[in-house]
Amino acid sequence: MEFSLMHAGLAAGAALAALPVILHLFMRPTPKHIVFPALRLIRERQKKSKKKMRIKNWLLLAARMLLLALMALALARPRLHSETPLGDDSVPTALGLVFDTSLSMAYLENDKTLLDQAKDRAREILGKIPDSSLVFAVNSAEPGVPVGLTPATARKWIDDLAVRPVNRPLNVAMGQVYAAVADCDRPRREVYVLTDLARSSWDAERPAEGLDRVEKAKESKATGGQIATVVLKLGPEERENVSIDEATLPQDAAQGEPVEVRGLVRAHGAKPAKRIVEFYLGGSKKGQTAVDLQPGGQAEVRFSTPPRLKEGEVHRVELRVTGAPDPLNFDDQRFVSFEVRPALKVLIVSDLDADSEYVAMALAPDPTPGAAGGYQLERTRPAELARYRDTLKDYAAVFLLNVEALDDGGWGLLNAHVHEGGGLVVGLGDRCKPANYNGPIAGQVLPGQLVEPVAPPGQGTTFGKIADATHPLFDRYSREIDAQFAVMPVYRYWKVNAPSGSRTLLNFADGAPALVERNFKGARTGRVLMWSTPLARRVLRSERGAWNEFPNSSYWAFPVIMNLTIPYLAGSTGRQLVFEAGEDVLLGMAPDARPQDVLITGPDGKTTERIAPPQAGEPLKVAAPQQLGQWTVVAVGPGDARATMGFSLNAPLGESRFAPMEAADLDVVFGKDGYALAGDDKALKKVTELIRVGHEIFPWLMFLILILVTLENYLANTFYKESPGPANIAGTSTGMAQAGA
Amino acid sequence: MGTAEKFLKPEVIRQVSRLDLRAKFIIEGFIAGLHASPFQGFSVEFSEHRKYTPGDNISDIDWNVFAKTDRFYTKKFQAETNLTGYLVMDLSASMGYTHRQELTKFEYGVSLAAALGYLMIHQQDPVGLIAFEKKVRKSLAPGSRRSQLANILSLLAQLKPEGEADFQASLMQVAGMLKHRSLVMIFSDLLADPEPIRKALYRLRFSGHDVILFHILDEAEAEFPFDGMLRLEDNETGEVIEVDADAIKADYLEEVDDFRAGYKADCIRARIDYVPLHTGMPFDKALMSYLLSRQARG
Repeated sequence: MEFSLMHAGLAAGAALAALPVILHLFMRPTPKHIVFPALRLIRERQKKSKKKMRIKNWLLLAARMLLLALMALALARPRLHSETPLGDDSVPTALGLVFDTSLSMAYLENDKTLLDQAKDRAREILGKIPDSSLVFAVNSAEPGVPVGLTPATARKWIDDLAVRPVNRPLNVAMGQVYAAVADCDRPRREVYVLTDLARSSWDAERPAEGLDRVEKAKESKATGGQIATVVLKLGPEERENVSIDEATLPQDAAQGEPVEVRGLVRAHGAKPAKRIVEFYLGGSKKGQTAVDLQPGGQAEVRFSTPPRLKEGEVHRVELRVTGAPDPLNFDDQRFVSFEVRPALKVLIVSDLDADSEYVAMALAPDPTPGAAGGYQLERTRPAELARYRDTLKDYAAVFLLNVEALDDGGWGLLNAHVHEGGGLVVGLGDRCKPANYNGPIAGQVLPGQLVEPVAPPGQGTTFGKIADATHPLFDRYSREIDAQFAVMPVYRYWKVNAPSGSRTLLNFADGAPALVERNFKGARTGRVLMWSTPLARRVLRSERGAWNEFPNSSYWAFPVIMNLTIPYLAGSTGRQLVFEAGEDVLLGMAPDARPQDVLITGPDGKTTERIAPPQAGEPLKVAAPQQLGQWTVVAVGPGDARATMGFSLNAPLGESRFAPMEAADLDVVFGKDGYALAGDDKALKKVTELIRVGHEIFPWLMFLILILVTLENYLANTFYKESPGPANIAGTSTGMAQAGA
Repeated sequence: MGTAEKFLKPEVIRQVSRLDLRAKFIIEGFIAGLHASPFQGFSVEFSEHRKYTPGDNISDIDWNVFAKTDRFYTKKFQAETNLTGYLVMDLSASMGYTHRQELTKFEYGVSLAAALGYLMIHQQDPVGLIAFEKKVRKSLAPGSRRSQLANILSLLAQLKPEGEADFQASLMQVAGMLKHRSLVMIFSDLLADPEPIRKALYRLRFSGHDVILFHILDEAEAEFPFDGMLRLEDNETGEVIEVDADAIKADYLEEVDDFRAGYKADCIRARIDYVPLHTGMPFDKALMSYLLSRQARG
């Protein structure tokens, strides 16, 4: 706890404690001369009581000195725990304002958004600092280095503030403001954070940036005061809100099938809610459904499009919650864009059904003939591969799963397939003959040579970290997949030598290659992916073919990777057309597309931007778009040939699921005693007084002085008590009126 | 308070400069006070009467008194007692002290001695006077004639307190001077080493004399009415000390009490009448002590 004085100069009055001593030494009254024959009686008594008297006198002297010192100290208005040296409103201030402009700040309370409330508060704060102050204001959307503004300019800056869909954690903005305020030479330094304290606006795991500057300012007081931080909490404790948390297509939209759109509606808060969810396709309402939501509950809604949507076009779906006013609007709608593509054909070749069924199940969970699905699967044996000599080019991908051996004809077919731009996935297993796989024709196809099966000691190994997290197979969920790989047991694998021209995408934990890729350039890029451990498992680990638990249903990574593999091999990875605000949008272009110009139009339809066209074969990248809704992209090719694409941009989910920062989280961000939290105007006033003035201990000092005066009186009265008797001589007195000790 | 009684007050009696008148007024005031007091019987005795007892001469009965009281009293009883008294005055310089510039301790003692002398002479008791400092300076042999009172008063008026007293030597000397069993009335402030004083008092007492010790302090010495810083000087020894009056007052008064209590205890042990006085006290207390002492011998 820190101790300081509001009027340090007055504390010099503590030197008055020396007054009794000075009085005693220099202003001793001239004694009256009196003839007194009974002197011997005094002398006798003095002999007895000299020591006692001395102690009493010292006690009285000490009490009186302490009394004067405390009085001086009390006048200096000492305080504890103070952050800044002055409490006067006229002190020039380096004022930092950090605005949370995240979507949750659009919450309506008493017909005002939380951001509007934040603006009001900021204006009040600005009204209490002199014009000679400098204001450093930032928002969480663009936490750049702030420049010092006059209070008047800062007001205009605040007027222009708006809620933004994409924001960085406030920890970053704090760093910018702390640095600017610390460099400012104004004598008082305060930083106010105006936020609804939504956890989604903070990185609660790490401290705010710039705290080192705050510490430095605390240590060196020469250039100004310490930096006080006030977190101004806006918004109610409990929020009532209904949001659409998800709008997804459970399956790829394949030609000829109705597309199902699934939505998840959630009620936040303590009240039940009744809402209507409306379904829009291409801007036209196609249906609606009513939902009853329990407090904190959710409901799923499903809508279907007409069956024959145009192939090759981007179709736009919007789910919208209506039926009652909602305090938070941005999450009342969610957008989905999708393309209808022909169903991709996949051929699975294996010696045993057990080796192909996991892949088949991952790609087509519903094996019923005619069931809706994104792929047309076909399973066959290696001996029958020759049958596909003419039709193999129609298959987007071929899976060769734990096949013992292929004849030269079979390898020849696959070689031709990949060189023509087809895709091949090889899953090695216990049945594979290295001699066959390392043969001359196979060697032209496969990305590596088989050396020997390896059984890591003990419980085996696991998959290691993804070597290339930007690879289309992994880039979307690389962190999550990494986490699953780290615990996924692998009992055996083939040691593989990857020649130059191949690249390892994934290793085992012991460093051996787990997934190797080889590309074949041509009009279309052919790709071969070789897993050095099977894409199948066995129920019993003791079985010969039980090499890993990758396809175990406990891990969702397997179906995800398998479903990403087909579009990747087919050269159409850009079919996902739903993104979160702030995320880079990658749109796959047709392999033969050679756009010369790309025009992009936002959801409002008003602004059209031109962006650089991608290289041939590369996806089109739209860097971090922000406006929520349906975006349109037009690629202009030679001869003004236009290809229209599109994507949907939704708000980050965390903005809807309001979870407040707890005190412990703020302690992590600012340090335990590094901030003051204020909820309303009254609390803000109190907190401001506290950080400016501190805990005044004046009343306590006065109380102490009172006790001391009482004690001094008691001592004096006791020590100089008049003897009982008839003596009635004027002039006896006690306490301070008496001469110094 | 009657006119006569007011003369028992030191501040009143000091207005009377003639010592003989002082003595007269004190005694008259004292007697007037006795009429109204529970000690009325004493006044009758003072009037030279005593109760008739069988065997007394009937011609001595005072019929006037009988007429007033319906009781028999005889006159001329005083001839039956013959107590020789000595007024012993301390002439040490400290006795000349007065803080309020009224009666000094010595003047108070002289007034009291004069009054007692007056009383004794009127009771036909022989009274002598001795004044001492380091040794006996003046003395007057006892006598009971009326002229003796004038001699005593004359000598008292001449005495001046100065110098240091030597109680032991002086009182030893006094003891040697007294031939018969006597009543020795000592007037002193006793501001000296107590031990020799005690020994001297014991010496007097053990010689068979009755002793009344009038211990006279100045009012200021008894009550210490001072405040502030003081430079106190002992006028007998010239010693000076500085004190904070407020700080030492309580202790000083306690010391005075101890001082008196010490003498009182010693006197009780030696069957000496000890009468603590200060110059602000009325004289009747001292006179009453005398009477009680005389009655005990009666």
